[in-house]
Amino acid sequence: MTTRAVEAWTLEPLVKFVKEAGARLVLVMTSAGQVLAQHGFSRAVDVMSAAALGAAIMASTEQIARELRQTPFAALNHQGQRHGIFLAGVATSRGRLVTLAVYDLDVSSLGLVQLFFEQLAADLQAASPKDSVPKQVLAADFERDLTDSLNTLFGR
Amino acid sequence: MSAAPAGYGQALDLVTRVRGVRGAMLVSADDGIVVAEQLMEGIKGAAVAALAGSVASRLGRALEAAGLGAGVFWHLQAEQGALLVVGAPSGILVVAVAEPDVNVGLVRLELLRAAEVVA
Amino acid sequence: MARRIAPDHVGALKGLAFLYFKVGDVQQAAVHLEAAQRVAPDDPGIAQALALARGGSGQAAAAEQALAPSPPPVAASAPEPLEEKQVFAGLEGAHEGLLLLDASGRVLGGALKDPGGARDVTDAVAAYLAGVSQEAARTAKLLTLGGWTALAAEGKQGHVHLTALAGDVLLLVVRDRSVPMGRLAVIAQRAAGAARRWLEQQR
Repeated sequence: MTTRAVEAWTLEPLVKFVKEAGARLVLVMTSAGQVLAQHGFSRAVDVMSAAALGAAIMASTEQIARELRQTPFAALNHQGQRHGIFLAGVATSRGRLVTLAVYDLDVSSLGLVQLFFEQLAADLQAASPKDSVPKQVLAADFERDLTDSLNTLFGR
Repeated sequence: MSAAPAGYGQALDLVTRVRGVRGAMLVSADDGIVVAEQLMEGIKGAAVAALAGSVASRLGRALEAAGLGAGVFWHLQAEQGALLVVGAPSGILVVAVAEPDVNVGLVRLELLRAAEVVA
Repeated sequence: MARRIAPDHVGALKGLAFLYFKVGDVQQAAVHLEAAQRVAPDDPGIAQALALARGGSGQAAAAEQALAPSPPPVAASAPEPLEEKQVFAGLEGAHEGLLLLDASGRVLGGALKDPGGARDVTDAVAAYLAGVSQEAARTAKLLTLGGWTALAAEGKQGHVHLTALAGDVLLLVVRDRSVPMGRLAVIAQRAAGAARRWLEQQR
């Protein structure tokens, strides 16, 4: 299984998180669903789907929190019979990022994923470029940027 | 959100009163999440819970593979401390973090009593 | 004559024990083995032969074989597979329930069967224990407990004791519930000593 990053500063924190938490699949993305790094995915279509759905779940629960007049939820966990899905946000100088992690219940646990997510968040905050300005995504560039990102994420 | 049942506090008291115990916790075995804790300062409860749960899970598989049945009690001895764990039938682990020279027999007894309280 | 010149010569004592086995005098063989063991308490061959001799005359042949002069070394031969008896000779239950493995789960010596004795569970247990030891090491490190030294566990049908030896080697001792955990720890300590000596000899 490989770990790849569109933005290189995310790579080392992600590699460390995958190793410690024992996660099977991980995406690091912006809150808009733009993927910055991935681990464990074998198909581009799966990355796109997971990123879109993960970002949507986070956006929905943030809206619920606003409706309830509460601060956004720190993390979400969905637990199935064999796998768990963990979603959490982290503020960095690159902007707010979202981490989606899928873990095998035989190999890892919510406790381990949460424990090492805290370290991942700290590492991403420390490594994020301090002087970056979030790039405005223009419709004309969107498809090209998406294709370039997917090529990077799959080592093409 | 409701507070942990009063019995959990009593269960932890049984363990923490043993000399040399730095802290006691109830941990969900499946998740490695803290259910209740009484810890001295400086002990990272979330880390203890997650790691104790993980060791318990792996050790349980090794014991089953050896045909020795489910784990009842385990004790991890290290140079500067020890971790002692009993599993309750309810799926909760009773965990003690202790000094390296703690009276293991006594801690084991209190962990078993605590496990009965939370069963 | 050798014994007149050097009464505590281990080679002479072993040689005499061998000769007594040859003529069927197990009792005298044991006497000389005991004398040899007093001089060289760490010699696994002596301990093994003594254990076999004490096991009864039926095992005298095995004891004699243990003392027989070893054949000259064969050049460039493949290393002999480890016999657990060589490492754990003289230990209580040396022939079962002792397993030496590396941190990757590969067996270095010993064997395990399930409590019924029908099924060999060596490889499966070794594989699982690799994960256990890695997690134990990580737990001790992240909780700032220092290096981990041992992991003892009580199961419904038996107890295990896992010792971390030097160089990422692990020693597992397994006994049924009739052996108390404290005694298991003592057995494990003795086995660990024997295993460390053997490992040193391999270097």
